[in-house]
Amino acid sequence: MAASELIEEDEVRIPVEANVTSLNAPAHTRPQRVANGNPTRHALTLSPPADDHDGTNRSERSGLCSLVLIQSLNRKLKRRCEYEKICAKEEHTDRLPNEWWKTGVAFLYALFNLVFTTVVITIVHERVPDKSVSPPLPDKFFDYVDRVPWAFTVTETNGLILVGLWLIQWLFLKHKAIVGRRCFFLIGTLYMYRCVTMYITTLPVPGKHMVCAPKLYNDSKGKIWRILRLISGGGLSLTSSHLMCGDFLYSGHTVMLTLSYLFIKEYSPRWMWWYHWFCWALSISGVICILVGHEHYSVDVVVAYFVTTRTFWWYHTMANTHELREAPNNYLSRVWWNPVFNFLEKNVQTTVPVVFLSPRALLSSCKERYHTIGIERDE
Amino acid sequence: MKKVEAWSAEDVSDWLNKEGMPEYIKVLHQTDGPALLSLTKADFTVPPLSRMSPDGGEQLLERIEILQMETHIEDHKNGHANGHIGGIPNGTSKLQRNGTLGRKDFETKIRIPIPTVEPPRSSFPTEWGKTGIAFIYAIICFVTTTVVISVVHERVPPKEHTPPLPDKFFDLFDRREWAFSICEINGMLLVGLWLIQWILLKHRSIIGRRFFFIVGTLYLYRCITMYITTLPVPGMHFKCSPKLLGNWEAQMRRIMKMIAGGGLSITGSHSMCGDYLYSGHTVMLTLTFLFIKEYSPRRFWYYHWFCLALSAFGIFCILLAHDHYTVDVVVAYFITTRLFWWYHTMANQQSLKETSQSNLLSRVWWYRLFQYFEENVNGTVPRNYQLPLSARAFHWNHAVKYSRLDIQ
Repeated sequence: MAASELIEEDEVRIPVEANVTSLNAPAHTRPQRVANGNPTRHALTLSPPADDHDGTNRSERSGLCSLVLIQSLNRKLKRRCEYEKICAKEEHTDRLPNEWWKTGVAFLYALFNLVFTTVVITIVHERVPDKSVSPPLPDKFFDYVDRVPWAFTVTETNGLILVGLWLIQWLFLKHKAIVGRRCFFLIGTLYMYRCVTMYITTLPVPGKHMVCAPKLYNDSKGKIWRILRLISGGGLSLTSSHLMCGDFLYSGHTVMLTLSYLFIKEYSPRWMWWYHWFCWALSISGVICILVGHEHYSVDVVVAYFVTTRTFWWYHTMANTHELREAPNNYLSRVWWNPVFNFLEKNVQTTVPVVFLSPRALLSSCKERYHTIGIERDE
Repeated sequence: MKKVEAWSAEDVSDWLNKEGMPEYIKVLHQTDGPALLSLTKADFTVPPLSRMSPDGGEQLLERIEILQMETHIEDHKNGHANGHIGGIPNGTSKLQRNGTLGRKDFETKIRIPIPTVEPPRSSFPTEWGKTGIAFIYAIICFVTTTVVISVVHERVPPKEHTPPLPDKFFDLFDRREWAFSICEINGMLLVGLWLIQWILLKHRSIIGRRFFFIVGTLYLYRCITMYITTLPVPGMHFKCSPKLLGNWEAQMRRIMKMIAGGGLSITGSHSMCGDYLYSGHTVMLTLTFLFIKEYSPRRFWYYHWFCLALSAFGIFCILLAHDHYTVDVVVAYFITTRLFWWYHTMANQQSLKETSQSNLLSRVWWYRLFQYFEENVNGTVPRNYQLPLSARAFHWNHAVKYSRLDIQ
């Protein structure tokens, strides 16, 4: 009985198949669902134009034997799977959805971790052994290269330039929501790892030249002031916000230099090799100047480079290789941040292409967004 | 079965039913045999047939063609139908495609040439040569580590000069003397278990290669981090052997002693200081556990939990003995797990064994070496077990080859 009804619904559906895709488009159903097909759902959504068919067909069908029913049902199902195609255009736009709210969540995560790092630096500062008690540790680089006082300024300038370039590049990207989400997540995670390593073991100051602010033993108010000052200055010595010591393992400056270079290279066109080389030179010179300025131990810089590059490549491979998501032994998913990754990248179905918007397109898309927000608010 | 030309409309309806196309019955209920045969594609472009047929009538036309052929062959049954069906090329047969023949009493010989195939090569070739290279690589890394420890020992600041660094774990837990021995015993147990397990594995050459490569690389990284910055001793209890400034012979002897003792304090070979960032004991404990878990059957959960307990407690004891800073242990754990998972993900996924724009895992410095080791391994190495002696017995008989029987 049910089988014959199915066939009837099939019959009803065939003439109106052309309507399937257009009806589904505004409803934004997932392509997969439509392709597998559920006869009942389709029959419900479509207005059957051939109501008169049902009455006449029913009487004829009553005499069919079950074997033929099953055979024809089989064939029909097969045929249905062949023909229910989804518009290609619709599929494409769904593969890289913007989802700005997820970017917002990632931004909050990064912000939280940056603030948390500042708090941890303030705590660790209290525990740094005094220079006279614990002299700087022997370091191979320091043995070979003497300190140059202006080197650290070069590092910070390079860092600011790289971050500025990346910001401008990001603004012109078409899929800035997705790329921004990745950037915030990586920054947040790397700074969180940094909190852990800074806190558990405190290294002494790398050079006698370092001036550390006096310790505020129980003065909570003073500590909060320090935290705010550090955040407002972005943690840079240029802005004289960074007078605290103890945040050596591992180097945050190396993280920012490396990470902004990696992002710049990954999300810019391949033919701009001169741009890549320029940024690489900025990055490398910045990192070397950290060591030349005796501001960090060599191991801080090496570990920071290692953790940054590995995490960046890990995340992006997980995001780009879609076979991994269904693979049974996907070891990359054993990291602790795999659930967060799934949340951020679940709906990104393909590698993010490097596509830029022209300034005019950028302005018009901004205007459009504000316009639609305005309309929504009015409604 | 009478010829199609002689069919009535009723026969056509019956045939449509039998072919499983009852939807056409209503539309073609006036059609008799000749009309059926005269249907063309053009007929399907106008209603009512266009409405009935989603594929432009292709399937129905095909069936009509087959029907024609069947009746044709039926007529020429004893004639020249041998091996040919209406001019179709040798070896293929339209009739065989969907498998539903209208006629069961169809007799003809169809010749299908089967190309001779070579016996397929194993997806998991043993390639002991590559395992040998990985072993030599690991040995080189171990020896380099020992040399570097010896060099670094000369540079460790004396504990009176540079006291131990502040460490959160040391603030919370006081030192226990017996803890480090437990750590080393656990380590030896885990290494022993892994060795036994490895001997019992079928694909021990591939897995051994992976183990040697990963261990070698981890110790190489360790050389670098130990050498560039020297951390002071973590506790005042340390007894560092005196420095041999410039005395190369004594240094060589010290290196030999350390290699012979496997770098363990229990064997009394490790009296040198300075090798703190990062902890080699943690590396061995973590890595052996990861390999044990990876290459043992899933149902041995009690075995996995036991090894996990050994590993975790061993690492805890390192810290309890105040023999390493906390950051040494954390960094060692991080690097070991990431390298292990990185390598195995690349090894199990064919698309990651080629460099491409989207494969960012290939940007590590050891990628070429990895490709060399894993290029002939196709897919995930299965967890199969085999006693080593039986494998050797197997080698002496030449593998039995089966060849295709030729029936004429």
